[in-house]
Amino acid sequence: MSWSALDASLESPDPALALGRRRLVLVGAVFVVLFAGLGARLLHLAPEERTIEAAAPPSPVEPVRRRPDLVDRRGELLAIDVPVPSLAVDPLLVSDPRRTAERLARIVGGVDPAVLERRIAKAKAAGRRFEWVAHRVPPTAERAVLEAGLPEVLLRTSEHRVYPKGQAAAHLLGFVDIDNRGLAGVEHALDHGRLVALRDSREIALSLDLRVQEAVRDELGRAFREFRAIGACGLVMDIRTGELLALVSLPDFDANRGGSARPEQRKNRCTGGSYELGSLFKVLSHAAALDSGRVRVGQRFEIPPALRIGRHTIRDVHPARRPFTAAEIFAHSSNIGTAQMVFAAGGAEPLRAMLGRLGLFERASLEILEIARPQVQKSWPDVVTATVSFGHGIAVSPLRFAEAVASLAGDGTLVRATLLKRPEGVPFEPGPRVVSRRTVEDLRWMMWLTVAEGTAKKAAVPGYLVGGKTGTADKPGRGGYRRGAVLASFVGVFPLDAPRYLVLAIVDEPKATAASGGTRYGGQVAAPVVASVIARIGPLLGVPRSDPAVEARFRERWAAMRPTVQLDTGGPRLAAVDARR
Amino acid sequence: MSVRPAVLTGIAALLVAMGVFELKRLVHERERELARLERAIAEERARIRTLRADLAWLRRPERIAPLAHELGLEPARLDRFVRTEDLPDAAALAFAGRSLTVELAAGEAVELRFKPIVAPERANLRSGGIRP
Repeated sequence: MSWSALDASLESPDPALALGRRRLVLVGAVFVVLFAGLGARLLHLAPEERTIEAAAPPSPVEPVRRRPDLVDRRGELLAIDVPVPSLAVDPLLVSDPRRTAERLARIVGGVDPAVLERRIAKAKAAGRRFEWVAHRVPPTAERAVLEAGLPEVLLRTSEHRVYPKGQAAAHLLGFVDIDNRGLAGVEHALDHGRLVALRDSREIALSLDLRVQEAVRDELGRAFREFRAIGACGLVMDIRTGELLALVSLPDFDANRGGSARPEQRKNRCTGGSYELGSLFKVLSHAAALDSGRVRVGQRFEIPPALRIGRHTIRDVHPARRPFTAAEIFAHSSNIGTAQMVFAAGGAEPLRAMLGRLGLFERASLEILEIARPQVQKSWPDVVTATVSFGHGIAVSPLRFAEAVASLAGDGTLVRATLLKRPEGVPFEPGPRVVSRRTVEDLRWMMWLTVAEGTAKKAAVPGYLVGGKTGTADKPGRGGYRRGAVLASFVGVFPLDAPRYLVLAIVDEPKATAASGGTRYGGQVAAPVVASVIARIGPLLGVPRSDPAVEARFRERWAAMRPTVQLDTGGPRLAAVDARR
Repeated sequence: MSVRPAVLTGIAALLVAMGVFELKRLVHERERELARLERAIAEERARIRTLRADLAWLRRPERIAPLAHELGLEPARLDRFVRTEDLPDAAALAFAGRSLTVELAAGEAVELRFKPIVAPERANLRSGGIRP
């Protein structure tokens, strides 16, 4: 029957036939509506199914919020988040707690099957659906569980911070708690400090060079053990950019177990402690005196056996028996000479101004939060000026001091330490000038003289021109200075023909040994550490051999200035000096 | 109401509905595939991270230092460094000691020998890097 015939038949003259056909159409229409409804329902259901799929976690290993990887300046991995599985059971699916407990204990290890069985049974009785078995199991255990095919066992993966280098740079990297929150060092700064802006980056390149870090840790550790010290700090800084290539504080700890480290292990002695650094400070007071223009390197000062200022008397460990030039005061580390020189330069004001310009009255500017405040006297009477000039009566963090020396021995512009690698190819903007170029030249030469002829002969390194200053500071105690407790230190700069790196070593409370010749002086304890570090890292960092012409120039300058009669301390005391000067 | 257009519309609607349904099914399938790939990528990334951590652990200084010692490696020494300007000129070395036969105008053949032109103080490397 054609369509037109159907149309026609609906208007059929036979009423019975017409009625039947209308009913037929009506039934057909009802079915169409029903099918349409079914179709609509079907379409409606289709997206429903997809939302179920979407609601499921896209991936079991997708981290909630990963911490950035930390790498050293050469890309060596220092800290990374890795997914680590933890084991749990669904007690409802456990048919036999004993069997499950025994099988799991065999796989995991370190779990008592009887205890586990009791826990599972208890959870099952309480109707709970989740019971921890072991946190952070090794991948082998995870595989064993999967292979055993235990339906009641649940695997939960969580991010876990790992420090593959263990103790290396633990004080700088810091560590995290069980929920991956930073508790110290860079980790802490990423969550709460100056590095928050970098929190979402994938990788952070630190200024550290792991090879240098290890060399410092090795050499400093040797001195730390040999002299049975209570602590030590060593650091290497790029003088031009302030980048820290190494920072070691001893005793240290394993960053993977930071939470269980003792407080003395956790303490970052390079940044988190303020110390009276003693004679190291003469670098700064000499810079202040020379830069004032009122004192010259070759100027001679009478060195009395003792210097009285008010009620106080200042003495030298090795009394000078003749007038010293400013350079010799530095090289032989005379307290009396330094004090007299600072007074000749104008007293408290130039010294205070210099320390202020170098930022010694403020905290160091590193990115981490463990930075100690300096301890400075409020008023500066003459006795304070004198003691500060040789590093007592003022306590600063070794890091801030290193920044100051880097500023002075570099090109005389302010250097600020950083833990972040500077981007390559971006020209470095030097800081404001703190001392004149002439003062820089004089200081470098005096630092060389200290190593060549003065208290730091053990800091000499064949092939490199090394300069520096020793320090042996009495440690303050209750109501004065403690007898026999010292801070032995050496700050070195190399190569002096084109200063590039600063190496600082501080050994806290060394005990005299045969190796140090029975003394605890910085020149015996800390200078050899710096020398071995330089000998190791110089070639690694590609520092070329120093120019012999520069050394010849240094020697000439010394020859022109030194006393014509070589003084033999064992023989008759000769006070004669070069009559021409 | 004419029956023919109504039925045709109904069929067309059914076809469209089927098309939409099929399309949704395809999209759904793609999304599942996408989720599967994303999961695989995440798993692979996690594996890479674990392997990186493993590699870094194997390269830790406490392990490398004794191994290097066993292999006879030693720390770089400054006297092993040579500056490029201290190296003898390669061209000068190439001809040093060679000879060349030249025929003079008089018909006489003479053997000319290149002298080693490396200056003694330059050959004697300042850094002492190369030893005979």
